[in-house]
Amino acid sequence: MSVIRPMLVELTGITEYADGVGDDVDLTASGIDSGDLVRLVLLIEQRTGVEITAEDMEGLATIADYEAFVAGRGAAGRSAADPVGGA
Amino acid sequence: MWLAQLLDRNRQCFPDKVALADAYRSVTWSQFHERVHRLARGLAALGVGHGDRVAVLSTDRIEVLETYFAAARIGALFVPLNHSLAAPEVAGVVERVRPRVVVGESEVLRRFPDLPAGRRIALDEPAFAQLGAGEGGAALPEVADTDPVAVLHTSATTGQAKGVTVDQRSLRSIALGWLAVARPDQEAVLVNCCPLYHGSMVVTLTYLAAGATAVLLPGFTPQRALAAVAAHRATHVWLVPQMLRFMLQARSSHTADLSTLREVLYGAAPMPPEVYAEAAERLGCGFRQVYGMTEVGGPFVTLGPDEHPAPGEVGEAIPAGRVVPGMSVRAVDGDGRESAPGAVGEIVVRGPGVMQGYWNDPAATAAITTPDGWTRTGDLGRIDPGGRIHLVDRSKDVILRAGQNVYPSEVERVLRLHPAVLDAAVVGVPDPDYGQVPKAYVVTGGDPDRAALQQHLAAHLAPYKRPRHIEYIEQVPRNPAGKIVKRLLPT
Repeated sequence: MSVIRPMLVELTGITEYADGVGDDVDLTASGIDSGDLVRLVLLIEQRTGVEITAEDMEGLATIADYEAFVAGRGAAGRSAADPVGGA
Repeated sequence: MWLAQLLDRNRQCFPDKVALADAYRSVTWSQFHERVHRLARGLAALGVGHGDRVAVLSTDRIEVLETYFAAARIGALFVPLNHSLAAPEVAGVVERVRPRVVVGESEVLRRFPDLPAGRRIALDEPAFAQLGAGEGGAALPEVADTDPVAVLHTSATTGQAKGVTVDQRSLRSIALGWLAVARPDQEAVLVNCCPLYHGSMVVTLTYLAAGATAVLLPGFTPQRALAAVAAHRATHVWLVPQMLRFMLQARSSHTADLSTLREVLYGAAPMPPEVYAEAAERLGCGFRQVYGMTEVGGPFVTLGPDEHPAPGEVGEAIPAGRVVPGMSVRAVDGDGRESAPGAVGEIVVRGPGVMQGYWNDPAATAAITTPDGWTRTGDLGRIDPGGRIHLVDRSKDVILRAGQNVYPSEVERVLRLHPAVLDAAVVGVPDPDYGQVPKAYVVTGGDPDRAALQQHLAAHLAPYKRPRHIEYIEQVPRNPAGKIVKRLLPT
């Protein structure tokens, strides 16, 4: 279940981001507005609670990059908040 | 020779102080001076001479300003190009300006393989750094302040970008006027969030004139801007209000050290009161409004920190400010007569900052100039007894999207190019992040192929010009003369 694709559709109003743009396509090359990429990062921060730094952003280009980042930070965030694990 | 004087003075006065910093490196005034002169000789050796055009296609980085200054040093005109435009848009500009050389980042140049330019030079490849290396100390030509120095492009109501030709006198006039009222000094560090291809780059030139350091971002993101302010201990930041809103929303705004900021310079769009209030509270620095227009040399009006309202007292729009020394403004009525004191009229401008004219377009130049030599801004406003300009509306049909002008007629023209589109109308609608965004009303002959229309728009228009919303309707309301009646469009 993609986290990023619904956000892209929400931000741009372009339904192709739901399934018409490949996971490994550079989002800038997909023709997305640079302002919408800014808003995507802010939305990810807002909805997941993770901070994305300028340095982090250098490595984020594709939907797959963003998905992996959110999954990794989400896991890190959960383990930090709940160090003993559990259901 | 304003730009050459600027370089010479700052090399003499602040040789070891950082002039420019970007995402990759920094250079001192001495290094910047040397590099500009060597590059000038290198361009001359390539055959670039007085009156030739040097186009630049790049994100913001030091080499961009090196190229601007080097072209100016040999009497050539630098032509910044918006790298986010679609290929036909860039090709159209290049076709009209006919540059002898296009300098650009290799990745950007690859996106535009068919530009009709004499020569292409990748500024991020070693050959660029070597330009001029073998030219020794050959004398550079004298350049007059009245020689054109740049062709800056604006959007246009006709749907075709216009080249604004400015001379060094214009840059000097605006810079000296600005320095007199804003008073930046050599200790200032300005983070420039606005693209150097935009007319607003005159603001950055003005701070460089003071000997300040300019920090360039390879494209705005709030995270980059916040990191740059903290890393360079910036005293000033230059942005459009929507950028400030994004910076305040970023989580790193709560952790970055922004305590060195003295002034936030903002312009190109109205400041939303809630953004101003939050920024003033959280940043605790001054705010300076910049009102400018490429055709009159850039930033010709400013409202300083002392005249900004208290954050909780922004009852109406913040005034644009007072005209800078050296330039004149007035409000005029529909017949070009000066409006009564305090009455709303079109803001017109006169002074040495004004452009020489539109590139190869005397008819358009005449259309924007009043018979007695004032330049029309297309903005409606009034001037209060204290000389402060209050903008109230636009007389031109334009959508102001995050500081960038989008002309509905241009978007409508592109929509109508699609074979399935029978008619179209475009208006600006409010947007919390961008201020306004384009909305298109489209009439098609049958079931619309939405994906095909999006692809068509992407092929012809820069992303910021594309309609954020498209509504399919039966008919575009028009008056008997065929003009679109936008107030009758569905809401």
